[in-house]
Amino acid sequence: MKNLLFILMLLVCLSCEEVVNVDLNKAAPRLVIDASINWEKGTSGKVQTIKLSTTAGYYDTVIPKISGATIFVTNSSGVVFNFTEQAGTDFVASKYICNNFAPILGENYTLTVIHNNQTYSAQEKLIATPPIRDVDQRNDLGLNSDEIGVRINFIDTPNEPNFYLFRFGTSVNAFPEYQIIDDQFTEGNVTSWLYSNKNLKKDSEMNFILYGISESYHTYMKIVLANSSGSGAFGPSPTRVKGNIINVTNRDNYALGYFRLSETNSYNYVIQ
Amino acid sequence: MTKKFLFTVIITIILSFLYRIPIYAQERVTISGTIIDSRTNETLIGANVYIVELKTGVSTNEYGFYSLTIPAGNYTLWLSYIGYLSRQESISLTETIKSDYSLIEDSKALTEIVITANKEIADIRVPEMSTSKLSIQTIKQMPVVMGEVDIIKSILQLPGVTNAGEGQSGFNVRGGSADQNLILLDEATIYNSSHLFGFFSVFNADAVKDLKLYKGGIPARYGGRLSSVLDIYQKEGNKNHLNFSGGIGSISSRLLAEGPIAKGRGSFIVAGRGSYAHLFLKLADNKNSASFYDLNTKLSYQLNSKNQIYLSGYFGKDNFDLNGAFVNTYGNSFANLRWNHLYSDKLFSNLSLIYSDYFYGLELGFVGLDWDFGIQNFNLKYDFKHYLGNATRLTYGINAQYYTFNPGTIKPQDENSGINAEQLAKKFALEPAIYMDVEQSLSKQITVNYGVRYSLFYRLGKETVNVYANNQAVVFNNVLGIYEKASPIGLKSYTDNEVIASFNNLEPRASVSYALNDDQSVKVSYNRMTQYLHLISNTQSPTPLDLWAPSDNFLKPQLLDQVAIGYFRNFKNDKYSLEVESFYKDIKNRVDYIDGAELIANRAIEQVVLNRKGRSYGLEVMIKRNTGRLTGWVAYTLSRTEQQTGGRTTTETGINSGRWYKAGFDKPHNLSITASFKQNEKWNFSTIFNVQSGLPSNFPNGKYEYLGISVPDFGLRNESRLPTYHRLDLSATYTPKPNKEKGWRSEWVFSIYNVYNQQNAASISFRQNSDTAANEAVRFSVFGIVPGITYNFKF
Repeated sequence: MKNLLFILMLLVCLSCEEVVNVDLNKAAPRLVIDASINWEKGTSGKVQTIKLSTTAGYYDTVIPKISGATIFVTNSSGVVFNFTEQAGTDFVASKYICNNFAPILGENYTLTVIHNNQTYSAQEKLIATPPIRDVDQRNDLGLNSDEIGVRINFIDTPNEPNFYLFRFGTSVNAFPEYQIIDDQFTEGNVTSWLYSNKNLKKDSEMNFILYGISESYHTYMKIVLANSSGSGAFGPSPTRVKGNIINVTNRDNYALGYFRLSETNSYNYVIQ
Repeated sequence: MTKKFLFTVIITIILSFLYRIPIYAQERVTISGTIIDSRTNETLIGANVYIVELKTGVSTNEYGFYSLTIPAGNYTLWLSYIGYLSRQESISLTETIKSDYSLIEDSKALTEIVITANKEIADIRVPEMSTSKLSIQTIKQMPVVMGEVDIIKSILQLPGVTNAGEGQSGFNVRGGSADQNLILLDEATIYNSSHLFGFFSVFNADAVKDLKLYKGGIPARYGGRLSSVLDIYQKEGNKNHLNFSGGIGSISSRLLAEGPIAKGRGSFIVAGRGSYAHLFLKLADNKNSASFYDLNTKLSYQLNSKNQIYLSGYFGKDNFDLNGAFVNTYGNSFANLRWNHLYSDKLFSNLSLIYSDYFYGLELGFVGLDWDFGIQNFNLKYDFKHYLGNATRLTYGINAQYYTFNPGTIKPQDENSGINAEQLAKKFALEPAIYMDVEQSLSKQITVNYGVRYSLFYRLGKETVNVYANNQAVVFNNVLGIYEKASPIGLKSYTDNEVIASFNNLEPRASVSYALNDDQSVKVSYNRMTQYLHLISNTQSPTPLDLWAPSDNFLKPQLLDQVAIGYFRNFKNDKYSLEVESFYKDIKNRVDYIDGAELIANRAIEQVVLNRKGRSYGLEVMIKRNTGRLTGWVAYTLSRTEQQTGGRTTTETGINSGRWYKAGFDKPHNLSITASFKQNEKWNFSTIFNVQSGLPSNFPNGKYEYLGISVPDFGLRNESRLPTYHRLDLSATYTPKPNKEKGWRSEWVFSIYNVYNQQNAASISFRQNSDTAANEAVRFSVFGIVPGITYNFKF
């Protein structure tokens, strides 16, 4: 909604946006752990990837990789799943892959990352996700009712508070877009989200992924998305967002990123 | 109960002071009455009645009444008022008399006499300080965006008053946030002072008679907000003739009708204003729309020489529709019935019964949700003004307000919506207060004003509230180093009107003026204020999402202590005046929010709030040229506003690592030049020039990749600043037939806002380019050059 307000202000006030150059400070690099375990419905979920990198200057084009780390995930029965570093240079961050992961809904997992004699740790539960029921195409979205988009529907898991993350991948945006949703007002009902983009046209390919997430991760992503959306003065003051990964060796040297485990449902759609 | 005891003690001390007023051997008589405008018979607020020989005087109250008790004798009475010609009268006082006077408006006078007209010069002898009066005439001449006369925007030109950027609602007084201003229109509280998200203010200048801004030294009769009081009074209407006036502007049009009723014993005024930009959009087949209207009404009727009644009302509404995907409707309305009664020629009283209502509604088409929020408020006030002898005045009264807060009514938009209907628990509160204020001349040099307000606040049932372990609704996660919601350990139900939480505060106020001579004085003031209502907002700039919440066991009442010292001087026969003031403010229990807090329709807002401290200090300088063809002022403010949310225990980090950080509207340097030049009877030119420090901002000190997107990384809060803000505005007023007294009279106002089209940054955002995914910084500016034209008429 904050974004909408922002768009609103843009529209009303004879205002203008301009890309400017700003002199920015650069903080010392900090470890970033992207430990997202995704278990797509109908698959074994055996292959999982964890990415390590560090922070960089805001305008830097190269993301520093982190090589030589030891990564493993343990379930509540003490079973260990090792993640080994993947050779190759064609991806942004260093990738660590596990080929024998055993996902169980509701199971508690512990992540351990050892790097530079520092041990990082995080705990999280694997959360179930309802299926995407259907997608309706709409051709009357946007401020002038001429944008093409979709309404994505799923049925909220009843009788408990639920939190969800949507990922919208389209051929018309250079990076994926995300939206967090909760069931505060739609408990047990059809829950929908509208997505539109002024560049969508016939034959544009789209992919949507729904993730069940924890309440803590919902809060975390709320800050991540507010920080990266550039909603300016109409959002809360941006701050560094702390995830659930702690440094057990030296608490102040915590890692950014999050250890999240979700069942997922992916849905492909081509604009008619 | 100790506070009640203290209150009694203070009142006793005040009364014992008063009874020590020396008794004169001479016979003392009282002169009292009303000061009115010669043409319309409207009462004048704050007109000065001064006895030249005794160097003593009084100003008229909010209803134009004055009363002076002095030894019998022959005197010269000097009457003066902002924008009016001063008047001198020789009087021979042998017995108590009632005497009404009328004053002639400055613009109606001949130019040669204008030089003697009393303008907004510094009052040397009154202890009142940190206050600003602006005449409606001055405000109407100031250049404004699209020619829309705006009271709130004009007070931003005064020292110590800023806002959070162009197009932002509200204003900040001496480092106070926008919700800490008590905005009164005919004594009724206005909760949202802006139209169209802050581009315009809700006050129709045509219907406004008088306004006064208190930045400090706030008298005990005001309470409930920390930072300032903006006290606005509506006109009563012309008691002599039926009159119409209006205007056609680029944004809105206005029409006002006023006239006598019951053969001049009463009067009425109706003023309406409506925008019409949405009509053009509709014509252009654009489905978006933005519109507002407001209606000011007032009836006054004099029952007899001792009793007068007033009925006033205000209704305002805004509507914003973005193609049905986002519809926002909000508005204030109030009705106020007042009864003025003169118990004697020395004791004036006013009883007010006020009902006010604030409504805020959102229709979110994209999620199929309707959400309404509202406050209803009943206010009963009984105020007395007692004019004792020897220039001593006593103001005392009682006040009780009952609030109903509706935090949210949630409804599905249609049958396709998955939204469940829900009514969030309503909240009820009672805020009674009692106060007493004394203004007294201790000697020819020293005048004092002291008083105390004793305020109470009761959160009342019916309500079921959450109970938390250790009474903490927010817990600190020691492992992750973040604040999180606490889970309630139980519920507690309260029946109708059962007390859930209660508070009481003693609010002493005092100011002293020491006159060095007839032209110079030094003043010192102290005031303590309490605010029991909180605006729930965590955005950097104020947004129209105005959610108010009452104090309870978690949201503690906000407290403020302010001290101010000032030097005042009039030069060259009052042609110039200088005001220099310095202030220090200390604020406790301001609401702060944990990271990621969701504020809209939150069922348990206590789970995301922490209490913080605030402080601000500064120096304000204002030089005014009061008379002549060129009038205006230069105002400069040097200030700092900071806040801190520390940890509640040694292990907690607090917000921003527990460090003090700059408030979002902190502007260390703020210079404003306002000037008006009267070329001749037909042409008047005005200009405003502003230079201000850019607003504090958070710029990233890095970025990282997460989930395939680039996330900016931030350090401590508000360490960066937007570029310096500067802007020049011009306006010209053309009156084709300035000497016409009857029939159709008109004027044209031409204005240019931001003359040199400076692209001032309202914010700088950091985001990825949607085509290249590269990181970029985007400057957002609100107004470039904006011309405006308005046609005003009267008949």
